Amino acid sequence: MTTTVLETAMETRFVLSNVSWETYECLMQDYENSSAPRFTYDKGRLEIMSPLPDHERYKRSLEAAITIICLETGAHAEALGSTTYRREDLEQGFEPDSCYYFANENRVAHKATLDLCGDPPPDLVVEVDNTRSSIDKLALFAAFGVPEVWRYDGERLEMRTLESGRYTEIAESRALPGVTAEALTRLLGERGDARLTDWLRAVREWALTLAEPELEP
Amino acid sequence: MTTTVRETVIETRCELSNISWETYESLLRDYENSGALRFTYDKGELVIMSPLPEHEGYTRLIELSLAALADELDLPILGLGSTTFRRSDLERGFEADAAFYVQNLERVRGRSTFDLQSGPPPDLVVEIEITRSALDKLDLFAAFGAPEVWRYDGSRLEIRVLEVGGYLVAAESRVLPGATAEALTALLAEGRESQFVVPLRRMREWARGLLEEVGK
Repeated sequence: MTTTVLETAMETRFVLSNVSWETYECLMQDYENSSAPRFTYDKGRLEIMSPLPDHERYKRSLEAAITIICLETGAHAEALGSTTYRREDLEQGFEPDSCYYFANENRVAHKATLDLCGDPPPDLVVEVDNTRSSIDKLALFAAFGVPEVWRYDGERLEMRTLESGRYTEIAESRALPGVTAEALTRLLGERGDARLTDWLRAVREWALTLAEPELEP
Repeated sequence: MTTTVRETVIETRCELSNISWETYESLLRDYENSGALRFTYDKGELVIMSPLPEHEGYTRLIELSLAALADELDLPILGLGSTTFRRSDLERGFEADAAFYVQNLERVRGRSTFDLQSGPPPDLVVEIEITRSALDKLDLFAAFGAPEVWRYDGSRLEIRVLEVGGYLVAAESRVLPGATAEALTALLAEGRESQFVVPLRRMREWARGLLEEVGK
């Protein structure tokens, strides 16, 4: 027997298919100081995504978890949230749910604007969504050369790493060594019923185990 | 086995705030030759709508009924469909479901653009509003000075005429004498019943019937 579960969407999407680069730039100017809705542009196709509460809840939770991991492991990070990344030469642009610099942290720290001809793409892009985008986001991130992408769909967290132009799934993060997709999936699964502060405490306890040096046998 | 079905939320309407006039104009340029979407702009607020087939069905019926009626009345009529009417001085613009020039037809004959800083607004604007817009369209049409608006919500057609204080509900059209809200409502219900397959012959019959009634 097949049970069908209807999941509630975490976001709504609206797609425009004939948008010029000029219009996209005009729109980005109108929305310079706003993080919602989020716009993704791919050679004429513009997707406008409006997050619903669950989307923001998981996004914030993942961000908090990454902050705790950095604190407990001593990893240096720069968080640039939903910064707009766009490249006219590619006719592509995106605003991630969240993004981070680790290896390239010193190259973008304190910068007010990014120039993607010289500045590196984020080392990690975090995406939360459970509805299908009409734009192939992975191809877009690959074009920008984003080394690692995490995607959470409300059930499972997937980690992907860029290898010769394509993303392959990995079990453990390269950007944050020791952090596994399995552990984050488990933690985010506990987020739903827990109070935020209780959940953060649990994340911290887990993160502490990442920092502990391996015991010699 | 469990299959998870994710609700697909493909919106047919998108509302954006803080949109500049430049962005609006740029979008209109991108969509110049495509009637697929309707853009309404009101001082920074932009509504983008992609009409559903049902929506288009009602629009075509209204257009056909108007053509039949104008023909019976021997009244020349210009249907401009979803032409963009915009006024940069007001920072407003709209694309109705249908728009017509009747009384002011001679003043716009041969025009190719409708930036309305010069020239009259359409005599009649038709709006199918199965789902309600966030924008107050009547306020927008009043700013342009459109003398008459027909609104259909899926069950009733409402005729509104512009007076000093705004639009007032009227039983009968001023633009096309004889057309009553009641008769149009009945015709649209008939169209829905027949899945929008209404012969032209029937349209003529309907128009003749209307005028006979008025003549009584």
